[in-house]
Amino acid sequence: MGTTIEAVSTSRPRRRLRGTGAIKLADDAAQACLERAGRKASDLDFLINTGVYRDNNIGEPAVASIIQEDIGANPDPPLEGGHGTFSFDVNNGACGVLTGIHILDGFLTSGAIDLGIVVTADADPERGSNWDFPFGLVGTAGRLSRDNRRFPFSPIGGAVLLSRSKDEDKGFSRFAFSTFPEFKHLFESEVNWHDGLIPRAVADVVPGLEPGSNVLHLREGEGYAARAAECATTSARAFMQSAGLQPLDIDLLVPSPTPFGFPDAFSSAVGIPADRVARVDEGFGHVHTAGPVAALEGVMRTGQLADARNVLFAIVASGITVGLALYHP
Amino acid sequence: MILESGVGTLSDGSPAIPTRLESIGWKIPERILTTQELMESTRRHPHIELERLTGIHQRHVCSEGEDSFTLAVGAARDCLEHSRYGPEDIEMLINCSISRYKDGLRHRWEPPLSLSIKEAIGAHKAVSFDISNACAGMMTGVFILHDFIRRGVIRRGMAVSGEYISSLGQNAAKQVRWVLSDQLASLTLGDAGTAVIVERAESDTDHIAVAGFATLSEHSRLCLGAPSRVGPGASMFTKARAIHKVAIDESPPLLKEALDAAGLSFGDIDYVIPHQTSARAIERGAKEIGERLGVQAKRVVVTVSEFGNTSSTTHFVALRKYLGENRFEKGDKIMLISFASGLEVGVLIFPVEEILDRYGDDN
Repeated sequence: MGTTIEAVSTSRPRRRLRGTGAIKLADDAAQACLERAGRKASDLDFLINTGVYRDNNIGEPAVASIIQEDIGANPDPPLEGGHGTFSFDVNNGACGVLTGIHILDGFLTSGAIDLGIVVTADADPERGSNWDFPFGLVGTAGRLSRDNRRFPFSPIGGAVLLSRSKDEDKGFSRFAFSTFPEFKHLFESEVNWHDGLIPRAVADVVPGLEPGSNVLHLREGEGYAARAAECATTSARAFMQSAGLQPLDIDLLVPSPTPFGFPDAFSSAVGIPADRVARVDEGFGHVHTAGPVAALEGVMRTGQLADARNVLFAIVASGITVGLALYHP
Repeated sequence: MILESGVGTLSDGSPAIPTRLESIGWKIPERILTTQELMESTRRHPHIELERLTGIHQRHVCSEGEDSFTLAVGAARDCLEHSRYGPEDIEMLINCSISRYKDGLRHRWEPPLSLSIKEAIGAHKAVSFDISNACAGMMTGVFILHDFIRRGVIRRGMAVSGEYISSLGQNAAKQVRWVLSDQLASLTLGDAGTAVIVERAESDTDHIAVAGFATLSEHSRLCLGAPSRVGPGASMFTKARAIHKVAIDESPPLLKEALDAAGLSFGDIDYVIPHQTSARAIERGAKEIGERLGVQAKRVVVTVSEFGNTSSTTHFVALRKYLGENRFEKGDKIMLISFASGLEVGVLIFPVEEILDRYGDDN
């Protein structure tokens, strides 16, 4: 028995004029994914959220628990005989979805759960403050730095629903993750305090408010795409060798759509023909953690995934982190 | 509850490999901030007897040059010093903290903090990633490692967390007006780092009996932590009484389920270590849970007086303290109970045996 993909789905903001926060995008993607598979939210045993950039940069609770409540996945205590749903967040940059799948594959293989979902979404953290918390506004907690006034990633959500197949030969057969910390400076993001962004006159109105603000900074260094392709190529060659596969044995490559240029640079360096690369529709724009989900959704729609025997996931993220997985539909 | 026993079979019928906690480490900042000092720093000087209400006399807080990263690295090194393994033997490293401050109060989103931690300690071969599950982070990390090891995917891994959360107290001190303030719980927080190595067990008795979690997400919005609008670091808003009530009302059936899976009753547990919020809440909660389960726990560990609430690290701060002070006897059964924002209910039950041989020098 292997862990197989039952359904995937992506989501985009419903209204153009008012921004949609990452939590709403994740809710929508999860619900669409469940609907596509003909499953109920209450069927879910496990929910992992892997989005990085979320409403107001909140750190607590885990965003996964909010999504679990929003979609109605056993939000109340389990009845006798049921075991409810367990949810938490994983942060591994753009590799988060694959790390989430890796963790879910484990709990499915061990028999602890029957159905799990990996949900992800990134959006401008200034968006989506209508989230029903019974507390005052968090205020400027989600502000972007002056250098990043335009949030670089498209507001996209994604979800992957996973269960066990009775067919021994189907599903994920191996995972590998490697890191190249010598390149960690090539993509960095952090939230830190900047003095003086609020005038003293305004600051004095609010008790305790200091003239400053916590802001989000994102930096992509020059050469990130090229270094990412090099790291992924090194890792993928070793990975395929350990699996006893040649590049032409790969029927379908699901790569990170970003950084831009990575899919072509990687596939050509490894020797996988360009027509075997799952590409993300240009309409998605600069998609971050949901990138692999968007690529999967496309090849599931065209039937390319179902026709493939060996599917290679090759995901790159800040770090530089390379995540690889072999999947047999 | 999603449960995984220490023994049993996997979905393909093959036997699960038992796991155990091999070593535990901590890093506690030297600087102490008493509750009296903290309350004197409040801008509005509210008449709140915080020490009497919570039993928290003091907490340790970071000084210049200390942050989530340095606490995590310090804890990981202490863990390795008490371990039979070196950093190169660690096959998976999971950073489990809520706060991810590096180089001061700079909250790192990318790359994940686990990457810097494994680089700093030399765990170059480890697969690494961050998780976040509020105050249940470390126990969630152990749950994940337990799963990977029992399936034979890895032989050992480390869960680590550095919580630099005293900034929440400083920011709350600017705004708290009265005892029912949503930010009162922020005044109970302290800084600490912890780490634990989980490995394959080689004994029939010295292994994790059961690990399990459930998220009662209808209460997910009872606590909110985010970058602050009033100063560096973060702010946290909590409906503390509601969380406590929900945890005590709704957790007993889940705790019983975990105890049943381990073949134990609450009365069989030698040390119950709940999440450390306030002494009164812990004592009252343990009594109520004991009444619901029909038997009281033998001992309930309370460390808040010395450390305050150190978030995801509290259970392992308590474990490391008791190991260092030789408090445990070989074979004692320990039950960690997590109540965390989400609302997460987590349980980890295990005996202490071989691990005791490598501790006890802390007087």
